[in-house]
Amino acid sequence: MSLLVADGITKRFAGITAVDDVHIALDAGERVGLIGPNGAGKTTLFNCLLGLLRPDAGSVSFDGQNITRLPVYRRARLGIGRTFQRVELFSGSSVRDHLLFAHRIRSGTGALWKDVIGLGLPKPTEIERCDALLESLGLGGMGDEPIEALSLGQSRLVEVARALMTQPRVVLLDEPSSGLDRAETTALAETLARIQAEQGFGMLLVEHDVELVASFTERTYVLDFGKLITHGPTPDVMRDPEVRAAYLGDFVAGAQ
Amino acid sequence: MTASVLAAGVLEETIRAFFQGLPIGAGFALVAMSFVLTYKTSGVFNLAFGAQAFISAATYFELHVRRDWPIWSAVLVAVVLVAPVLGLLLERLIFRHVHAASAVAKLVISLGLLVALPELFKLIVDYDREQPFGAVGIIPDGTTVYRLFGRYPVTRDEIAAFVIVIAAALALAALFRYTRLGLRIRAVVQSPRMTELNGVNADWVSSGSWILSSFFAGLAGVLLVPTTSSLGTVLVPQGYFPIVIAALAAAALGRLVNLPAALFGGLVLGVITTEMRTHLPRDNVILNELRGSALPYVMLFAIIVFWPAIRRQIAGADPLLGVSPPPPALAATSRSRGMTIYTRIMALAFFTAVGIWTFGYANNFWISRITHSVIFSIIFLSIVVFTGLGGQIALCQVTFAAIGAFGAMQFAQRWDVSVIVGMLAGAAIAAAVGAVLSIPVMRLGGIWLAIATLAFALFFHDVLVKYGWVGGSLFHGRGVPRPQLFGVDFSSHKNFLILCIAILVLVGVLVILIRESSTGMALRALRGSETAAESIGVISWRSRVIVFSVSAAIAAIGGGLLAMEEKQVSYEANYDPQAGLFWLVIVVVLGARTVEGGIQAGVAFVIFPELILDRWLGLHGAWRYVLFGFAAISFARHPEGLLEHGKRRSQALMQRAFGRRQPAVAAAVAGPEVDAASETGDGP
Repeated sequence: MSLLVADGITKRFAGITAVDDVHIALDAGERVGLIGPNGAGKTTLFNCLLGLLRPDAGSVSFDGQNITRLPVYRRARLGIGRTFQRVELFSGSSVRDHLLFAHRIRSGTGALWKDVIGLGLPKPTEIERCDALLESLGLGGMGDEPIEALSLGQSRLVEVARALMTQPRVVLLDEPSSGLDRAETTALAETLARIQAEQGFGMLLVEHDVELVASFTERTYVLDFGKLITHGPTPDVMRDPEVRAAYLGDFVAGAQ
Repeated sequence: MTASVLAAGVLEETIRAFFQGLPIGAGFALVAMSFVLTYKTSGVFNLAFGAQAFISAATYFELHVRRDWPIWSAVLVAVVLVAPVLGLLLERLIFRHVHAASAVAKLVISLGLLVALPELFKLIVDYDREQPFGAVGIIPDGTTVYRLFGRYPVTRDEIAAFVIVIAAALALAALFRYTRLGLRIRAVVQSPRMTELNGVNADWVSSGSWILSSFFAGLAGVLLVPTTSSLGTVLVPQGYFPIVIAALAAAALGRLVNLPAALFGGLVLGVITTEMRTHLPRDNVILNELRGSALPYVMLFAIIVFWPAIRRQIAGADPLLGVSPPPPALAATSRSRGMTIYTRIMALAFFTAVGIWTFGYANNFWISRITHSVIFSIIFLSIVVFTGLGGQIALCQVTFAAIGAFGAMQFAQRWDVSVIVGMLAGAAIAAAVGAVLSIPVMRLGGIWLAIATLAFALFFHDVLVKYGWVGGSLFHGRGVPRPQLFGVDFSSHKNFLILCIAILVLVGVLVILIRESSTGMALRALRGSETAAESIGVISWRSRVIVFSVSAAIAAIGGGLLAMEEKQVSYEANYDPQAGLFWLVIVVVLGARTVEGGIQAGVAFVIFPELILDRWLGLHGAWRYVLFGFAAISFARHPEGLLEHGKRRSQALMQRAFGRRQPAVAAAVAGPEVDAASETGDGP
């Protein structure tokens, strides 16, 4: 039984079938890519997995539990973390605050009465934990910086760190390379690979950038026009003529 | 045969109410369409329409009734000149500059204008010198009665109002459909920047729509004078409130963006109003109130909670919104250590001096003013909790304060319980009411939450207070004793002040603890990004309901203390919903993010009109509404409050003067790239 399973997901918008009967599965600790050209339905599928959209048909399950109808925050509490294509950070908070908030939500000590008698204040051990994770992501010493002062690449790392502080078993990354140049993308991929190897969470990478997926994932699913056209080990998928056709156009594929 | 006669009578009454309802509905529709027009074109939820309508109506009254101008020239000036110019000024001077601000920030600005504009007008034309009785309509011999189908009476005023509104609606429809301006307005709604890239001056289009909507508001102002009974004899700004609320309900039916729905909704609500007035029984307090002014509030609340379209509404995203600079970073959250120490020393010195003066030299008048300041500081901390921490606007803090006051009163009067226990019970009731009230509306958030809480406040004001178990009976009066606690008598002025200060300190510490702990963290996350907060498991509505309850309890404690200080519940003087609007405005202007901001607002609220305006500057006390109302404009740029902003600036200046290090924020903005490159090891 895989950890995160999407079974027969279908989602229609006003007559357009954005995602059509798609099955995907992700095991614990696995690095999986989900690629497809623009308009293939990647984001729709992603939102169905996270609970931002409710599929018209099919089900999503996590660790054997049917989560199709659970709201976003319940899925997050079960252990599904995410990052955003357009960076979503808590404006007005420091870098460390982002991690601290996530840790507090996860550890569930949010009772009002504790806050009122002063038991809810951040403890030195919690701050150490946040700083240790920042250190390992290469953001050491930046805990006190306001989030507005970070570059886009650093902001993405803070998103990853924030997701990791909830101790997720799966992290869904939404186009982490968007807005980054090649060198920044490579640096991000290296950091992600290292931290994933250390912590062993599963990872679903929804990406536009085929190169990043090729260098980073073990298995890949390919969507085109809402349908799953192929899946398998990443190197095999990258050689698949159908995938090349979807990306490069029928003419080129036919000529080869 | 009596049954059929009776049925015929009911039918006739129904039809009569229908024809009477249409003109009233036409008035609602006119204001509702103005709402939709400005909301669509500038994203401003303009609560100040009531003020704009009042200004036109009052100008007309001033010119026609007091100065004997002919009707046509008075209408020309009041509606065709004053109203559009006012709209143009508001757009040019204010709303154009806050286009990128959040809907909530724009709502706060319009609240400020709602408070400031009528007062400014009254000060300029010296309107208060005599009560403006005898307001008249713009139609000659408007009270002449005609009989439709020979039996249903309608006045000439009513016919005129209906015809003018339908004509205005048709003209508006034609404008959108067939003219270049209409097309451009529709484009600007989607994306002002995109429209500018196509060679259209978006600012001009936006000005045009404000001129138009303000003209509508002015027209509604003069048309509604004769058709709405609540305004018939006395022309006051508050008189337009029920109409604005009803218009809001109509506009809400069309999710604030659909003009035909607003028109239709306005007409339907007008008819419902008169039908209910005709048919509801008169022997029940609630139903009886529903016949009158309470109906719009109930309709508005019900529509916000139950109308499915509102829940589905998604804020339209401008494709080029990313071009806008991000909102400013908050001063309070990034205050440096030196600044903290400096402010604490200054505060300590200040409070010591005030304390020595108060307890050594002040007379009873000033002790009472200082006690009032302390109590209002406590009440305003409830706004700090909900608006400052939660980032949401609620307009019923005044109601919770009233619940605390009535709680203290009822428990002391009925059961002879200590007034402190009564106040705490009032706080518990307020917290419970807050939770029950907020569960259905908290998911909506933003402007809907603000409007729903305003509707609740007005409902409490018009209906619930009249019940003996809420507002007390005339027989018992509204007296409240000073407390005795642990054998100490707090009835003297100084002792009661000490008690209030102690409670303020307790509440202040409580607010800080909540802000720095888990609940505060969840709220700060939500304020930063709701989507991201939910992605880490924050339950947005739950956090907000909790903090709304806490804020309600704090307001109730303050309200209870205020009643004890004044030895009675002065409901009309202190707890009017309109006063509550000013509370919010003064707190967000001075600083809603910090405890000291709330205290500053409390002191300013009490001392400013008394000391600075009246004694030092010799100005009318109403200038405070004008000054703080217009100062609310600053909320879009400085959500941390003007005093906080000023302190931060003065600190930066001082540090520059003494050649010290830059503050943390500036340093971080200047140098992260270098740091990052060396830290992550991917530099050259």
